[in-house]
Amino acid sequence: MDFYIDYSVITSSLGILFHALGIDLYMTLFSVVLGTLIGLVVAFALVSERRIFRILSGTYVAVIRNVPLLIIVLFIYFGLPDAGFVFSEIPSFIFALTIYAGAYVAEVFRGGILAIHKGVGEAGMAIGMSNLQIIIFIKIPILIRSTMPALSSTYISIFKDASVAAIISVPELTFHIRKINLETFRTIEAWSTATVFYVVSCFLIAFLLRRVERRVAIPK
Amino acid sequence: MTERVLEISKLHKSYGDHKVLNGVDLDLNGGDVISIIGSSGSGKTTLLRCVNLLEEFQEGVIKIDGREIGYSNSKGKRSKVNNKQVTKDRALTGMVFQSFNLFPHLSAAENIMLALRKVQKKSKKESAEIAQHWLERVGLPDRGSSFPGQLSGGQQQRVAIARAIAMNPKLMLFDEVTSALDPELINEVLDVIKSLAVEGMTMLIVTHEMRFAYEVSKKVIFMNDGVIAEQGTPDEIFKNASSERLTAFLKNTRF
Repeated sequence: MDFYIDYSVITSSLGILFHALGIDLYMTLFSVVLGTLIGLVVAFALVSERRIFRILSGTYVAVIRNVPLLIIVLFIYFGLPDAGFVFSEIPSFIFALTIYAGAYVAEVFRGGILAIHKGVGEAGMAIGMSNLQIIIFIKIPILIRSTMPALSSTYISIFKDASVAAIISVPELTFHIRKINLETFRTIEAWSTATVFYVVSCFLIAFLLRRVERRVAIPK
Repeated sequence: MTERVLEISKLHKSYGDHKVLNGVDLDLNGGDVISIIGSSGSGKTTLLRCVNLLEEFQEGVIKIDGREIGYSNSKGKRSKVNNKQVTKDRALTGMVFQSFNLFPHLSAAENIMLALRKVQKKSKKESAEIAQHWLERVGLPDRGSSFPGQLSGGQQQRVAIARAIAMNPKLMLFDEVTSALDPELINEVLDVIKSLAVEGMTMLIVTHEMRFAYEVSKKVIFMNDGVIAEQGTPDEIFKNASSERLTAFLKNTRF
């Protein structure tokens, strides 16, 4: 059989592929936003003076980070309906990716909290602020700014991890690429296209996050 | 008659077996400026932190304007007051730290405004006016929009003083506020504190700047091993040191 390259199978489905990429971005956005909120709460629980908070949050992070995302996705997609909670593919996957993202973001934030100079919190106390006010108005704003570089790479990883949704037939990018591969046997064309889509998307996301990072950076 | 602002009696504080404060008694009247000197580990910083309730203490009573802070005694049983009350009690005193501790993500003016708005619930406009007033007062009228990272150490410390005093505390606590500064920046900070003293602010100052302590204080306290080893007027302490320990300490310090 002669080897040749034919991208027509790709160009004819570009619309579908872009739509599929949109689904990845959509799922990522949800998971990143919700995961960041979870991560914030969990991070403060991880460094809490209350033992029970540390145990609960520590268990969550340990379990989620030590289980492959694929297992979490399958567990939630096939397991929850058995327990009476039925979700369609996309919400189910967003749920899985969110709790996965939450654990990673929590660890990033935990490092950021430990890096905040102890005196900054004490200065807040000394001018009469409550612990909650210190967390909301001082620690979180410092945290978001100082961890932005590490958060960015976590967010990009999570975007790539959205491809795992293919396993439960979410019609996202990897799912469609695999479909094209199986239907046309244009293997190289299919997967090289996926590579380009992912590389360009990640590059653009990184570029955007870099701008945010510069904007929120603490002036020196 | 001047009123008693601060009353410390029989203060004991230890970390585990290590006794840091071993029965400290100290009173300040309105407008008093008292300096605390002594070698490191003598308990001076811990004493200040107890007054600001940043440290818990096992025995003793601290009163501000005649009311006990941090703890309550009922039927002979001593217990910590709740967090909300601790926060309120803490606001009675203003504290300035060795390491400035400005909030790095906020401008100088915002540093001063934050607690005015969130704790004292003042309007943005009023808070901004108060911030500007105190920035002018510490000699930084046009640095309100600068961030801590853009200010020199001396300027940061002056903002920190403005931030504490803008809350209108009964008593200001200064904890070695020039120790982290380059020598040429020390005087600009000390001058601000001196001018506050002249205006009648009640202050408790831990310092290693002996000449400053001599000039600004009504009374100087020498702490050693967690107790007040000697106290008196600046002249009594610096010119006529009686105890061997104080003489030895002063010999090793610059004046």
